[in-house]
Amino acid sequence: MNRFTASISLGLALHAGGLSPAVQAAATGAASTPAVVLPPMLVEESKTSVPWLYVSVGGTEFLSRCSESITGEFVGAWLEKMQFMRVLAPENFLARADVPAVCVLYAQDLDQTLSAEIQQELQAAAVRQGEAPDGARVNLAPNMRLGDRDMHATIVYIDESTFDGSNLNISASHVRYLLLGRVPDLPTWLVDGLERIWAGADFVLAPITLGPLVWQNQSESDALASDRTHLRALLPASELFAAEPARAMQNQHPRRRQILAAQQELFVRWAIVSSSATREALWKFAARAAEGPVTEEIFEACFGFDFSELRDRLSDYLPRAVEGTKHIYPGTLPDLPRFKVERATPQQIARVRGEWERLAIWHVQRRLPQAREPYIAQARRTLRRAYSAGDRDPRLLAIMGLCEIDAGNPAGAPEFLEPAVAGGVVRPNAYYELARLRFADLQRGGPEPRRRPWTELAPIIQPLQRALLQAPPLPEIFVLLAEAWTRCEVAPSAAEFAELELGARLFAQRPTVAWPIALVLARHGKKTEATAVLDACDGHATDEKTQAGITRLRAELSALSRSAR
Amino acid sequence: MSFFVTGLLPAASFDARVETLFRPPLGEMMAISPDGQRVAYTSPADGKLAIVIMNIEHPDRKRTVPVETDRPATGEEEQPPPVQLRFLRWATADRLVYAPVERVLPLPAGTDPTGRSVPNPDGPTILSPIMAVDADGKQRGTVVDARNFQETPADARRSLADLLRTPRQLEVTRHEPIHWRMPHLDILGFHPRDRDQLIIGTRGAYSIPLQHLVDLRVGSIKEFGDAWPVPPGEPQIFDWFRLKVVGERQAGVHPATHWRDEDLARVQRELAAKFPRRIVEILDWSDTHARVLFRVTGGSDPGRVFVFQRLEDLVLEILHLAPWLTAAKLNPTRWFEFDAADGGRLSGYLTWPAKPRLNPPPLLVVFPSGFPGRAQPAFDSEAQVFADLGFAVARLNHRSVGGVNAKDVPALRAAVDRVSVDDARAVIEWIAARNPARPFDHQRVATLGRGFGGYLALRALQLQPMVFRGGIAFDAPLDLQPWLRAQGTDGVTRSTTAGCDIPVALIEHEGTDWIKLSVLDQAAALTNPVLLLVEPTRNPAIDLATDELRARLSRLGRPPDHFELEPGWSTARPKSRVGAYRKIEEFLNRHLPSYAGKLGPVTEVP
Repeated sequence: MNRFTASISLGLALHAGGLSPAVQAAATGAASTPAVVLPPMLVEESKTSVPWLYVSVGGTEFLSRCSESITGEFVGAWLEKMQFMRVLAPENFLARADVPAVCVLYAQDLDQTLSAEIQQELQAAAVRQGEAPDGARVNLAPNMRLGDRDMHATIVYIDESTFDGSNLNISASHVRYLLLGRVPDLPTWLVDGLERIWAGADFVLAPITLGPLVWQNQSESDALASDRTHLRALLPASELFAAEPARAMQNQHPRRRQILAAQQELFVRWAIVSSSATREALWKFAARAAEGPVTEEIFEACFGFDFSELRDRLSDYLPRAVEGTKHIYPGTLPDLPRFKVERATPQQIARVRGEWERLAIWHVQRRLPQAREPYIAQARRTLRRAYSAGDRDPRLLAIMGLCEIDAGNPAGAPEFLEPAVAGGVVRPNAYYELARLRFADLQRGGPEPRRRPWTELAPIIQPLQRALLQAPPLPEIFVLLAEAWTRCEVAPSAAEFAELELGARLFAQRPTVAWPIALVLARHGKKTEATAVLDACDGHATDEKTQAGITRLRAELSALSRSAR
Repeated sequence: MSFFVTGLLPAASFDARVETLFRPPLGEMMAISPDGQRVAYTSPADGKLAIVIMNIEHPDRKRTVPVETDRPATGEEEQPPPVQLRFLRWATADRLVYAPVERVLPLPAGTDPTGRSVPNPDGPTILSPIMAVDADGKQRGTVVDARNFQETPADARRSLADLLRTPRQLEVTRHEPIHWRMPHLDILGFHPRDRDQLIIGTRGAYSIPLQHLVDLRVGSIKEFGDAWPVPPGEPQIFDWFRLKVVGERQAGVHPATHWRDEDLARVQRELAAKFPRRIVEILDWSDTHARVLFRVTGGSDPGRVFVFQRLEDLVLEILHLAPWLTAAKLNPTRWFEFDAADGGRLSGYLTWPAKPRLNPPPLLVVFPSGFPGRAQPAFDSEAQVFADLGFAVARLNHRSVGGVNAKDVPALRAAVDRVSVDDARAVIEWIAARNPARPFDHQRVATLGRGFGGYLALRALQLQPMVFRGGIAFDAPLDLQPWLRAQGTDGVTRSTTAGCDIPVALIEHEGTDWIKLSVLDQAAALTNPVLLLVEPTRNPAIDLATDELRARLSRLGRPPDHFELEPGWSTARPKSRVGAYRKIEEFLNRHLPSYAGKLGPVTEVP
């Protein structure tokens, strides 16, 4: 499972300003070589007199090198658009994190965003590979979102001369990111459907305006708009709402896939715009679908009619959906939270900027490893500046510890993670990484015994349990917790079993999580529960090792069940 | 408190609603071309019958072809246009063959030398055109008709030349009337080696039955020596490509099909999974079964037609039979089925008012028309009308609708009315128990029925007056004995079903107590309000009994409401329906509350 997610799609998209998705930072060489997109590097404080501004509001920390007014306008627009987003997708269907997100705003000359050091490194690497020094194609993404297990960060380039906050929009990919981060996992039809709705929505001219739906393609949509009796193929509801394993078994004809994609949008749109009753039913049904496969009875309990009638209703609604726009009036929204744009303290700069630079390391490592070192150096430099000045904020320490892991120096991480965890940092990833390092140390000590005493495993289990009190719940935490308990001489208490079963519920559709949990339940005598956990994830795609483990465990459980009879 | 708040539905909107609910569906007969590219279906267009031809690959290329014969009938210049087809099938990928329902027009009677009327020795004129049209709507016309086979008696041809003459030529040559007759035409299929060759059979006239090949391209006819099998009609399903029976329609609470063809059975299963809780009826298929034409009915929808494209596993909706009635605008209808206390299977449909006027809403129990009758259709316009008026509407099937169970026979023979009324009571108790979140008003339960169902609606008032507080009967036989006898006699023999969907033997036997079965004879027990709707002169036995019941109830001081249905009622003319529904609304609004208040002690009829 990837620890990070990265996207060059904007978390924020500007309607105006002529922003290009990526700025070419090195001479383009062979056009056939795909360009590597790197995060911009922020200009050191020592090289510019532009001050950093800081705002903390709405679960996001903003660090801005734009003017105070632009920063304020941006933050206000962001908060407003997030409110609109929650009109379409309620809060409890979005990723929830106790760790604030980070948003870095900058307006510097884009030429400055790739350090000379990196440029030299790239040229040297090109020469080593026998290419011309200007042969490497590297683009800089002026706007980028990078995600970690428990938070995400966005960097946004703003052209202050053209910036207009009212034109600010939240990109569909960011909406998708927030939907995908929700646990339990939302059904695909909802994520895809909302994303497509968002992509076609306008938040500028009216509060929320849904443009005409595109059914398969524009000509098909035009035909439906001009003739309501035009032929149309819709999938039955049972296929629309099928869980992933069942979807994989469906006919994969391109036309069918095209219809599925459009119908997901049609359904969600219909439910949102038809009435408040259908909107409520949609969220009730979606919440239920996140917990496991849905049935017609579940659907009917939410909507008051059956699968076949849904197909009919969608078919009847389709010509109207392709025909025109639909305005959604969000009603009375709560007042936007008040915020103040302040001069950032050195600690805030180090922490927020350092977080962004730390996240960039992994991205660069994956995309252009030869350019990794300057990014590591810059992140360390930023973080240590505050640390050397005596800052021992657990949040800073957690970032420093995580930075060392990202930099390939796990041995250097505990020095920072231990005090961060001891200080009660809100950072589930820090707890996880510390527990993981401790577990690795324990296993390094010699041959793995079948069982270990509680005293050996407590330093691993306890931080994980503390992390479970913070959002988001991380699948890795449940996996490690399950592995630790599997090896523990002592059985978990009822409350501790409940923690494990919570993981099975939250990640029921992920066999990589369900399998170790089922294993620990089986090892400690809860065979029925173990079987139920395996049943819930049955059919979901996974790697060969996990699948083999599940098969083995199922065989063991069956054998035990037979012998018990 | 009243049943309704009068005037909630303005007259114009109510009339319009009834008109839309009873508007004829857009498609009836349908066929898919052998290559699966085209579909043709009959559709009303400006009050006339037309055929719509659509290309599935290019839906914009839709053609509407009027169904009208292009040859005047013999001696009949003005013929009403056909209203129904008896045959609609694609010969080839781009040629459609269709045939209006055959019309037989007797010639006027003649007179003998004494001036007495005698039957006409000629004719009758048979209009049995078999027509063809190209897929693009062009090249349309009658390929062959019964008059192409008009025959004269063998003795009318006296020379070799006569044998080569048509009857008309013969008549012209002879300068004297020549007797003639026309045969009936049966369509037997297409020749498998050349589907442009239509195989037809002639029967009647002067000859023995013969088979002919009609070339659809040029209209030439030649005798066909083969003993081509006659395709069986309903309930059997014939595969016109493979020339064999591939399935059989089965009646029951839900219409179903038993497929002998494995592949079609598989398609049926797949489609049933795609349309749960609906009735899926496979109508036609392409040569290779790659595309299958089917109709889906049930739920709150009047029905839709689809093409199953098996390669992509897609169902293409090609026709909504009543696009003016969308699910969102209709009152929801649900199927119910359960076992009664005695093990009998009871079933029906419950339509719930989308906008109840009273909370809880009153319940209207609708009895089926015949016995055991046909299963109630999933969509019923009348139930929608009553649900619009604020009623929950329970349409019942008889327990024997799928076939009479032997163990029910004694009870049915003893008292067919009691069995049905007890079942109706069991249904309303079951509905109440199963839907606690959706209660109906137990004090406002009314009954309705037509024909034998109307009889049961009134018997329910007599047998269970505390349960059923008012009744509406359309053309109800209030006295079974004269009704069954009048209906069941065709002049010579007694019909087993009496022409009224009732098995006479079940009711009429030596132990029958006609008085106990008669609404009329127990008029005194009819204490709850009654509305009798009758189409006058349609059935003398009903007219007579209705008048008598009205007189008896009037003498008892509680004259029933009465309404004369317009002649158009039985053919479902929307305008004539509006008047009847208005009357029913008025009846329920006016009578039931006051009667409910007056109920007092009521004794049930033994």
